[in-house]
Amino acid sequence: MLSWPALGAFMAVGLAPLAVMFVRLQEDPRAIAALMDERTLGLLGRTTLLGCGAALVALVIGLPFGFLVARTNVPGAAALRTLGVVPILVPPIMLAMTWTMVLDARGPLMCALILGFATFPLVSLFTSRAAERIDTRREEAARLIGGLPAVLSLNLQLVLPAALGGALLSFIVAINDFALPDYVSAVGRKFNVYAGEVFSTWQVDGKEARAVATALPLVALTLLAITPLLMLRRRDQLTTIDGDFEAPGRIQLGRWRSVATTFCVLVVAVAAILPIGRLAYEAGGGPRVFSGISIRRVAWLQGGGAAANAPAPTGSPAGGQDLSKAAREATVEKSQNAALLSAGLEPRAQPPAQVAPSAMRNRAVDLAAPEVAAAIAAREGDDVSDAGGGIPVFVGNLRAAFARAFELSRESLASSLLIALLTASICLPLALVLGHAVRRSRRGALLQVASLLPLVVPATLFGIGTIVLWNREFSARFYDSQGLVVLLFVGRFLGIAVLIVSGAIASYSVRLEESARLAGAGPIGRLFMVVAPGIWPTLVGTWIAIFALSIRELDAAVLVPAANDTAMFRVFNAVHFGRDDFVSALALLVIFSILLPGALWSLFFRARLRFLP
Amino acid sequence: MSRQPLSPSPSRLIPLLLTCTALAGCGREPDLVVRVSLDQIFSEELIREFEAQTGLDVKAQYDIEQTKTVGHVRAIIEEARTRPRTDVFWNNEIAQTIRLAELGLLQPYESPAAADVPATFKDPSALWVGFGARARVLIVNTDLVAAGQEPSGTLDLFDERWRGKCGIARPLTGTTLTHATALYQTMGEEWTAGFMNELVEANGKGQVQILESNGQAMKLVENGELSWAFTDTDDFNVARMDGSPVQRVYPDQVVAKGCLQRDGEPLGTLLIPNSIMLLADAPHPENAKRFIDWVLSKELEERLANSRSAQIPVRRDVPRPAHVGKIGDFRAMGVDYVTLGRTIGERTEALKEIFLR
Repeated sequence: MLSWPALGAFMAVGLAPLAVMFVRLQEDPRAIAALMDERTLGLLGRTTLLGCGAALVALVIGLPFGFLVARTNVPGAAALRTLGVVPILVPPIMLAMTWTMVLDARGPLMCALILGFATFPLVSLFTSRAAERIDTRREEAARLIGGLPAVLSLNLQLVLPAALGGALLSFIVAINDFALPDYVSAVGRKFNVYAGEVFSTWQVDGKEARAVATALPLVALTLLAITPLLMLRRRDQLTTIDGDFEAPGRIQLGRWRSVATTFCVLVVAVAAILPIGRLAYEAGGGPRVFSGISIRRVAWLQGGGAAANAPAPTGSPAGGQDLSKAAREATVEKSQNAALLSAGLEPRAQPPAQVAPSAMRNRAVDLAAPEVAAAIAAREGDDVSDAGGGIPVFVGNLRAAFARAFELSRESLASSLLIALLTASICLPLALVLGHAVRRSRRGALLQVASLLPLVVPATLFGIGTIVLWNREFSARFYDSQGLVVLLFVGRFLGIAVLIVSGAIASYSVRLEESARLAGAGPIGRLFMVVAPGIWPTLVGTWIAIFALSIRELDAAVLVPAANDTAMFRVFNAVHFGRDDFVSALALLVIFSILLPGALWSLFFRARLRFLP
Repeated sequence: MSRQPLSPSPSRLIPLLLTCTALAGCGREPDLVVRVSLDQIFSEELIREFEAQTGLDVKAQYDIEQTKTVGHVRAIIEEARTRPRTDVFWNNEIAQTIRLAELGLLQPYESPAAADVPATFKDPSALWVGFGARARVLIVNTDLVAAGQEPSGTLDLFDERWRGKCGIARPLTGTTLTHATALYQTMGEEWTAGFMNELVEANGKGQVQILESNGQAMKLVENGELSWAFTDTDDFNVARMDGSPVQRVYPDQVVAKGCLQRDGEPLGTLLIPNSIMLLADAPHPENAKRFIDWVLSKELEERLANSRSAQIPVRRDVPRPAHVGKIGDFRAMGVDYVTLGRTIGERTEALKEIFLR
């Protein structure tokens, strides 16, 4: 009875926007058939392969990582476990930007690798939780038979279904991503994915039915992937708990401890610390501070570019300079020194005798030219980020960049936090009711799948559906307000909350609910006063997950007027024309906002958050 | 310290939270609703200034690079079907503007501020006005390309000496899509289809890099990963102001091996003006006209020229800094913008067949 109002709310905010869009398929009966051509199927095949690759990478990293930090005596396991969640909270495109700066590799393999690293927390979360629920007596039996190898073998068999469940989620994230493959395969042979087809089809008006239809293959693929996961959950095969469960202790790894520790630290370093560290480096003006790029401004201004002053590489075709990093640096170094000398300044690295050739020095330098003056002023004036100068300047820049990012984006950050707070707080009670219905009602599986639909359709489709539904006279004020953004996010993320909460309810005893009923408790009392307190770590975990997703959401929000004021919107607006230090500082502020509730919880509460039963 | 189980009363919280959300929805009706696809980093300040000058409360909806104007256009079309709420659309390109005009979603307004805008940049029916343009250019890394050895035009993409070192964004979005559509119009169907196919093949052979966006093209050249690439003047200017070793080359300006030609003349480069328009059924038409007049003023066009986006004034007498080009100092592609806007949809379909496979 209690589930009907919640179901009604979900249908209004989650399913109705989809319904108004899918009705348009009637406008062109051939829209779906038109997708079945060789090119489209080829794109789908390639996308599936990318998803499989990403899932494999996530599995290979996430399974051992999740097990090691949850069950073994790896030092700092709790901290490593927390840090291991970070990559899934950072927008994948930010990871791509960082990784392509660090590694020279590109193409489909790099796409799969980055998506695998970005989504491995999904596997490790499932693995960790499953590993914690292995009865200690089973392990003792295995230990008596075959020692540590037998224990590990037992664990592997018991956690594998859960890990595969996480890998399926990794697959789903990977096949729906468009920006990352596009960005990573920019150099080398282009690697196209199906999500690109969806995006470009939306550009052509007059073909709305076709645009809606393009979403269907991805939806089908996603549902195909999620069905085995839901079946495993339905049969309680993702948990290994027995009736008289005895929690297991930490497994002593002996001489393998150092190897395991190195692996875990490496994973966290590469997946979490490296991207955040790189952003911090950029925020401090790293490249300029440590390479003095602003001096290149002078070099460039003094007579048509650095290359004019660099000796042509022997045997290379005209214009075809050596592109190696060392050659580039050498060329730049020479031109910088030549420019500095010509401007009457000290050369940076090499002695004047090595500065070649002299043509630039002979050229008249107009020190009053605005851009030359700006370059020199930048070197000596208050714009310290352009001055070079190492760590002290770097620290000063970092503070300045954060101060500026905070000053310019304070309102956007506050707006994002408010929207995320409201979204998570509205999702939670709805998810409790619907999650309960998923586990306890006969049509729970259907409800579970339906709740995920708003999440698996392309964000553009859901955003436009929300516009169509709510841009009416009666809701005009609401449409222009942040209330619509909250509504949009609740509709889109409620399915995730239901998925998490229903898992927790599955492990909660039905008998306790029956006892409460016999004691006279109504459905509201049973759910909120009996069930909720019993699964509260999961409820807090759910709240934090929805909060994080709401802060980082952009694709659907960009269509809705009031989402202008969110911090993610501001980050992506600044990416194009903003200075790198400002953009990086702003991105770090957003990441900090995403991580804030989880960090606060870790600081002030001993209980671990739970996202899984 | 022992921990007590939480005993919240979420059932009481639901009405409270719904009330909060509803209260958040009780905003004041704005005096003007504007959609802006010129980057927020430039336009937000201008709109605040307009608010300060006029005392009007402007609700502005900005764009992001990822949606390439499509988000705005889609939203305007969908809003028009249910409840028109946008008064003015300030578009940073022209093709989508024509589409809106074709759909009957614009109303004519002859702004007095646009009287001296050349006819090329105005709709004959006064449905839209173009101003502050960008041009397609080659951004060239001067650390890697010797003076006098720069590429000169579109066909240099296939020159062996630039193997793996040159690039262009995939022409499915943004100004690269507009550029490709303009090529279909000026160079003909057959030639352009052949050129686009050759581009994909050249990418497969490692000759040309097909990039995500013009912004990425700029970054890759700036960082020295590419020697040169196609981009827009605004992206070039960002790299220039960051002190990167880059120079700008207007493509297809001379009759030469690497340049496109039509009827024995160099094709020239594509100019893409900003455009501004009054939407049909605009809820606040008078305020909208005030805003359009303000945006189309010479002062504002000058400010756009002086900004980081370095927009090229379409009026020759508008002052500009030395680094901003002047129409007439370079050859612009002779393109019919109305036809360009009308055909961009079908060209997108054709280009998708070529580039998404």
